[in-house]
This record gives sequence, C-alpha cells and structure tokens, in this order.
Amino acid sequence: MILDSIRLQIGIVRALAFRDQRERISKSPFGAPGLLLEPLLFVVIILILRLLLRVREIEFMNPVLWLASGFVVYYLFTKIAIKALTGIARSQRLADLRRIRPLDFLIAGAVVELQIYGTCLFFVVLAVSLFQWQILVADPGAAVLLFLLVAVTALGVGLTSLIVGHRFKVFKFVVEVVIKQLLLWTSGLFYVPPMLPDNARALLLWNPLLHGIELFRHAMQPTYPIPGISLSYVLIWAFVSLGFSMLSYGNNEQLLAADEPRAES
Amino acid sequence: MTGLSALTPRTRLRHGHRTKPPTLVRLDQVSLRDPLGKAVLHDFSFRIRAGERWQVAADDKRSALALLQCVADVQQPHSGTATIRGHVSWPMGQLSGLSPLLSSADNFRFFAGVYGQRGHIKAEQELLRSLCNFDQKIWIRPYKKLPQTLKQRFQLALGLVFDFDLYVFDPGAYAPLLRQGCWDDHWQAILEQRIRERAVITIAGDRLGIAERCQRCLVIRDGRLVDKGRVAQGRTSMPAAPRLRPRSRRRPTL
Repeated sequence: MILDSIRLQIGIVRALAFRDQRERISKSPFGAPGLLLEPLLFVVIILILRLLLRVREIEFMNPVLWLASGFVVYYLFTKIAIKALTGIARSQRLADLRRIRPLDFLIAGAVVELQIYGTCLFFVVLAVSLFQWQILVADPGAAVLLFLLVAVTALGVGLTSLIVGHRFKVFKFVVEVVIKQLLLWTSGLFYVPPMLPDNARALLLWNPLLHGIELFRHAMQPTYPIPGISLSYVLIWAFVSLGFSMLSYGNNEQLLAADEPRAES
Repeated sequence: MTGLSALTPRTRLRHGHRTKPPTLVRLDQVSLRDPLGKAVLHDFSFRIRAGERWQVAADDKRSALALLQCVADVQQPHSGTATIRGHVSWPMGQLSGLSPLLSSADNFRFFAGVYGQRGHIKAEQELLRSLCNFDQKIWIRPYKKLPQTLKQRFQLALGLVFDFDLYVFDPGAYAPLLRQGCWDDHWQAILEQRIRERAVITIAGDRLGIAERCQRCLVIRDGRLVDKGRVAQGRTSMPAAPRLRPRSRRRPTL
C-alpha cells in the first residue's frame, strides 16, 4: 500500500517533469540545447570580462571550472527557489486533475532544473577535461551530493517563503530580493572567498549557498582551500528548511489550493 | 481492435452481499456558489458507493455541473465537507490539463504517468489511438495545431482510456462528437466496457445512453436535493425527473 503510493507519487513527479521539460524545449528557439545556453553564456561572458579587465588569475583551480561551478550552482539554487516562490499560480491549468498536488509541481520543477544544470556542468567539465586531457573532478560523489543538497535547500527555502509569504506579502518580496540580488554578490561568484580578509569572510559565512559552492569546488579540486566552510552547515540548512517547509505545507495545502484562481473550463 | 487489455479493471469489486460496498465520495452539507454569488448547491448531502450509478436531474444545469465538479474534487465547496476516497475521474469533457505546446503523444505520456496502469501504458496508448483514429503525423503534431474536432475527440477519448473507480460524465461535452457522427459502435463498446462494475455519475438526458443505465437518481431543485433513490422500472427518460421508487418503510420491530 505504502509502496504503491510512493510509486504513484514518483510517477506523477516524473510525468510533470516530462511535461515541464517538453514545454520548455518547445518554447526555446534553439530546442533542447537552448535550455543550456543561459548559464553557459553567463560563464562565457564573465570569462571574457575577466580576460579584458585582466583580473588576477585564480590560482587554486582551473578558472573555467571555478566560474562554471559557481554560476551553475548559484543558478540552480535561484531557479528552484524562485520557482517554488511562484510555482503554485502556474499550476492552475491542471486544477482538474485532483491527483496532482501543488507540491508535485515544485518537486517536478526542481527535478527539471537539476537535469538542466547537471547537464550543463557535465558538458563544461567534459570540455575542460578534454582540453587539459585529465579528469578534473576529484570526488564526483561529493559533488553530486552537494548539488542535490543545494537543490533541497532551495526547495525548502522557496516553499517556506511561499507559505509564509502567503500570509505576509512583504516577506515574499524580501526573500525574492535576497535570492535574486544579495546572493549574487555574497556567494563567491566573482571573488575567491579564501582570499578575502577574515572579517569580510566571516560576514559572508552566514550564506549557506556560499558553503555549498565552495564545497562543490573543493570536491572538484581537493587542494582548493575552504577555511570556515562546513558541510554540517549545508546539511542543517537543507534538512531544517525542507522539514519546516513540509510541516508548514502539510497544514496549508488546502489554503493554498483554495486561493488559486479557477481556470476557465 | 487494439489496446483492449487496457480495459481490464485495476481492481474488482469485492464485497459480500451482506456488507455494503465502500464509499467513494461523500458530501456533507455542501454549499456552493457560482462566480456571481448565486447558490448552485445548498446544504447538499449524499454519498456514492462503489459500483453505484447515479444520474442527476436538475432544473438548473449549473447545479448539476457544480455537483459533478464537487464530486470530482475540482471545485471546493464553500461550506460543508467533500470527502473523496476513491480513484475519481475528472469531469469528462472539462479537461484543462492538456498542454497546447505538446503533441498528442506527449500529452498522452503525461496523463499516462499520472493515471496510467503500470504495465498497460502501451495498451492504453493503442486504445487511445484507435478511438481517435490518429495517424502518426497527427499523433506527433503539437496539440494547438490540431483542428478543433480532433482536439475534442482526443480529449474525450483520453477520459475513456484510464481506469477509474468513479466516472464523472458531463454528457454535454460529448455532443460535438455526436453531431460530427464520430460516436460509433467502437466508442460505445469501449464506454460500456469501461463503466462495467464501476461507479458512474452523469447528468440526466444524455444521448450516449449512460443515464439509461443508472439505477439511481438525484433530483435537484433550486440547488437543493429534493429527492434521491432508485429509479422505477421503465421510467428512466429525462429531462423530466424520473419517477422514483417509493422507499420501503421499515416494519416496526417488536
């Protein structure tokens, strides 16, 4: 009985992820490769800017991998969290299918983002590895685990903000600004955190995404220094945010579903 | 005929003649208003058990449609409680989950992921294609590019492909198919096989003959349930409310 329910739940999430993925592909002018373009283009632009501005070379690891790992993990987090913040309204069109709950949309959206950014990173690592003719990921297991932990944290944060923001609109707005703006500058995308002064670094260490990105880089290159970075901090954020969001979602699902405007039949 | 193995019911009704079949849907003092605020259902209570077939005779079609939406859990009641325990279909013909960007094949794949039976997906797909009569070119064309008639056919066929404990029919949705002359013996045979042993709720006066197979009737007047019970033999035609069999009076026990 429980196994059947789990199997059904997985089937629903897979179906929704499939639908979401196909819709994105059909909307993109370049088809499936178009989905990978956005984060890849960002990495390329930043690389070109660094070359033009002659920014100091990153000594600890390959600069392309350093940039790509930062931006891809950052994009993964923001996309999932923002989608969780706004995902319920988009589910209106499937209001007739009672088997699908709002949470299924959010999980399916996270699965699609994981697929897109995972593929993107895979291609970057493959390209750089082929260019240098050596395997550049030292600990792929840890890298995958951190990738998943960042996605789980994003889902938890987004869902909690959605539910709390449902009651306090300001909270939703603030979280959206923090995710879109503040995290961009505090997640170690444009600078190497170990090279920052201690007091500045201590200020940035509140950010769980910074921990996730730095640990991800460390998983690729074990010599990459990570002073003050902790896996426990990422784990606590992932489980506490997801646990709290599931708890609050369980009590508020009816409220959220009832507030959705009805689609025209 | 292909895909007929998809018509095998997932579960069979198993209950002794002494025990009552399980309740699939239960409405308790449900009230519902239309977007303009007018009450379409008022203090409505009833239940549907597995295998029961109900037709709804209402003076206002909006009340009947609102009831179907409540039963299918598409519409939340404004007051009262609707408890849905079974595997209930969407109101057939009111489906809004089809993506216009996806092809019929992809839309089917999505629905099969949500409602399909494990191990029967291929048979369900064959059944759907045989009902719609789609060739490969149409099958992979984006849904938004299909002519309206094909869209309607696909949408209605999709409802008959999956196995539910309770089928919620809006016969009005099938009217275009009847007008186009697409409703042939194949459709009728699939419909009859599909609803065999299954609970059904439909609006009285349909031209598919579903209401004729319903043994029970709900009569709604001004949004209120004025009568419910078994339909008397030989009097099932609508739109007038059918004559209901008088309820048996209990003998006083000593």
